[in-house]
Amino acid sequence: MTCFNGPVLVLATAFLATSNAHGSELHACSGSGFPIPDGSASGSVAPLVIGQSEDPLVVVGARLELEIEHPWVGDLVVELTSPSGAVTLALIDRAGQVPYGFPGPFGCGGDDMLVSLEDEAALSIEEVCTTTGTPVFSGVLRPQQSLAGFNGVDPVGTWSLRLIDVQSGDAGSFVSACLRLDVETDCDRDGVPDDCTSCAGDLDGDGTVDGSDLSAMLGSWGTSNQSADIDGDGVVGGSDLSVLLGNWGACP
Amino acid sequence: MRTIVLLPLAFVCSLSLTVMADHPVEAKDIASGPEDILSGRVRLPEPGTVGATSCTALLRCDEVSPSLLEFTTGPGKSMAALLAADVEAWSLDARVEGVDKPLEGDLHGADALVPGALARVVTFPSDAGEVRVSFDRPKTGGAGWLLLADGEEELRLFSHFGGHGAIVGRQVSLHTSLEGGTLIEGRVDLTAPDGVIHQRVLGVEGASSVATFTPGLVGDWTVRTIVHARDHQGVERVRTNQQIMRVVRPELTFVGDVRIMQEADGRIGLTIPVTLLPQGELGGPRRVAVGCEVWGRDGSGELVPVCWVARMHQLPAAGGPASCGLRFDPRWIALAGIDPMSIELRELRAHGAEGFVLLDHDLEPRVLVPEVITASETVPEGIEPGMQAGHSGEVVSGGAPPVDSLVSAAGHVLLISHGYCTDIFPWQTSDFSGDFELFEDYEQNLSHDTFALRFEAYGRNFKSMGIAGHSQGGNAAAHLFTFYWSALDWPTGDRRIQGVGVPWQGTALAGNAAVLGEVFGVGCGTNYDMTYEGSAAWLSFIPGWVREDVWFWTTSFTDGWFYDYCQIVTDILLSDPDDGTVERYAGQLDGGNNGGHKTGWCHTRLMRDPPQCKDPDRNVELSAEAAR
Repeated sequence: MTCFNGPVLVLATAFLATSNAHGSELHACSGSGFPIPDGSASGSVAPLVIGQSEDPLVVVGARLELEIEHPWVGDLVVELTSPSGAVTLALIDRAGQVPYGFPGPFGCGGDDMLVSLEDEAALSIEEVCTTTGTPVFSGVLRPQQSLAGFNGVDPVGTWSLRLIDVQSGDAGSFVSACLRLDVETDCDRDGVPDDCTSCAGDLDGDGTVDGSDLSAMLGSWGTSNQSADIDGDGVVGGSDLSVLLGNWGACP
Repeated sequence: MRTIVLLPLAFVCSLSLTVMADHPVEAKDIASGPEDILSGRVRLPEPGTVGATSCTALLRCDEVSPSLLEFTTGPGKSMAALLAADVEAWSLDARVEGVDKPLEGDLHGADALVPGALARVVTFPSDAGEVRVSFDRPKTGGAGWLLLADGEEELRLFSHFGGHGAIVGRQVSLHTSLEGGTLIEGRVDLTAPDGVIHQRVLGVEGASSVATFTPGLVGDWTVRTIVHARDHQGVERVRTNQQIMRVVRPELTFVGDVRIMQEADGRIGLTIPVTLLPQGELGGPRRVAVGCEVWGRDGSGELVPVCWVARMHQLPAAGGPASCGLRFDPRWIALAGIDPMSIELRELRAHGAEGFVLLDHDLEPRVLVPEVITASETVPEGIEPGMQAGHSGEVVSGGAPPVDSLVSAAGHVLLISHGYCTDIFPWQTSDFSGDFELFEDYEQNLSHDTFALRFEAYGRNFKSMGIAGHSQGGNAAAHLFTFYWSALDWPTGDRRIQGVGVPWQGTALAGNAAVLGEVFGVGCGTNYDMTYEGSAAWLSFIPGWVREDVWFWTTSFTDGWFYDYCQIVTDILLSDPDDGTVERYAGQLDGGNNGGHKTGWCHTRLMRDPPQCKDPDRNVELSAEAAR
């Protein structure tokens, strides 16, 4: 069972230059705390909503800022799932849990975390546990699974940040999270960044939609030539011609 | 809440299970600050400051001829105790000169010395004058010993070894001195593990003497010093001391130059080349504690202590060249303000984990030529997290495995534990509340190291634990917190380790029990760790930050107007005040938190006052204040 205990959603502000594929950042935050169910395999979910954008987007980088209050952070599993549900990454998985030695079979026993999980961090969340200091996890740390696993996914929609406390006895609370996504346009929705030009139909790139472009399209008619398949439906046809004619003339 | 504990069965089986079910335990990289070096806490004490003091005599009955002793009582406690396995069949006749009626001897337990031991005891009035003690051995009787306190407590025999432990085939020296009198004659009886007695005569050199001996067998020897002396009143008296000499093989020897380098994570690594003997016939893991002091030159060129570093190592079975690693945090260098290129090592030493016998000791400072060492970029304001205990990645073989049925127990508990060679749980558990567990591992004779590893194994069932240990349980808890990562590193609350009646500095009973083993059997066995000598060596590896996490209490007998004791036989062997096993002074842990001393409570049951672990006031406090 997924428990919603009133997380407040802060919707992302999407800002993209739709005329090129230069990257931008989107973020979605959930800033109101709620208790994490103790000893629950399903945990609780904090939704992180990325709003619609004009152009198709693709994730090219991700960071998660996370604050949790918990007296035994080694109890926690934190999973992030993309809006489509296709990709789930365990960013924290009972950090510090080792069969013997330090921190031990029950994971890191320290209190609280206030971290930014980033792939580029020098230290992993698995290796920074100490018996002293609160929050025990702080600063910029590498997650258990690389956030690069989200590269190529569509960022728009509701991301699910699942917070699981697998070991009963010590209970804590989710405080806040911010998901920061580096995105680029992906007009052909193939998961690879590309340009979403507003001058669709300018097949030869001379700044004008004109007869030479029409000629090129007709030459590819019925084929899957990507340069003429403006709407990306896999075939050069009437819908592409319609876009070309709609943009006839000089590009803006 | 208490969880059902199935541990005893597992531990009973541990000897056969150990080989199959060993589990790895991670050793800590431990370090402590200059104050521990300068205070001497992490240094071996001078051998002459650690030894046995006696104002009594323990005599083999067959040494007393013709079964008669005559002596003059002094103003102190005066008594004679006959110790024999079949003591009820022996007769003991004691008379004060000029008094016709013999003094009655009573049977007393001497469990604190040897479990189940009985003694026939006669006490004499103070300054009774001349007394005569005679005895008759039954025809089928075995060996017997006569323990004699003549009441002249000013005449004291002090015996100490010339070093910390003994290496087979190497000469050892035994030093003897007298207070309050002069030596007439004396000898040292050294009983080898095979039972053969070797005697050395003590040269008469006024008040002190030295005997030397080269042990040829590995194991625990008993060393008995017997002197005839004249007190200041000119009265001849006998004094003896009973000690254990643990003889070990030179398992590890330092050789070559120590290498120092900065590791990838910034920590400073020391690689210490050693030569190892191949694994001995006894098998089992060989653990060795290695430690040294790090010094360096500060901005003014003065040599200053940086930190003390140590780690427990498990030696491989193979002999030959090897190395031991130590590691410390670069923040120690920054904190000391020294030039990293000026580092030198001092007091490099290795001790066997069983008894902490000194294996090798590098007395000369070693000036190191580092590759490139840098201090941490920022100078810490003081000792910061992670500087004192680090992640070594080095493992040793743990003890008995955790009990499977408890693996899901998790939770945070107070573990309450008994001590050495116990056949019944000592604590009054009804005084405890909250989450607590009993550590029950009865009738065991364990080193502090092995005891600690059993705590570690049991602690795997819990996220965190504090320990309240009786007697050796306190030593083992401090040992665990010092050397190994475990659930004891994780409790929250005020008191991580609490100990009642803990022989931090050892007890004379360890040596005496060993000598009396021939009478009563070995009982649980000889325990060198709890001798004065073993304790001193062990304590030299317990840093200040561990001691700060220890709370300890001592007790002693009710202080009345006449003959006070917890157990009359052991009282003779211990310095008052004592709890029947541990002297008040020996129950002190320098640097620890002294919870106080209370009279009217003894070490265990079967003593005159109630056992100290049944004190509800303290127990409630232990429970309430425990870190869990």
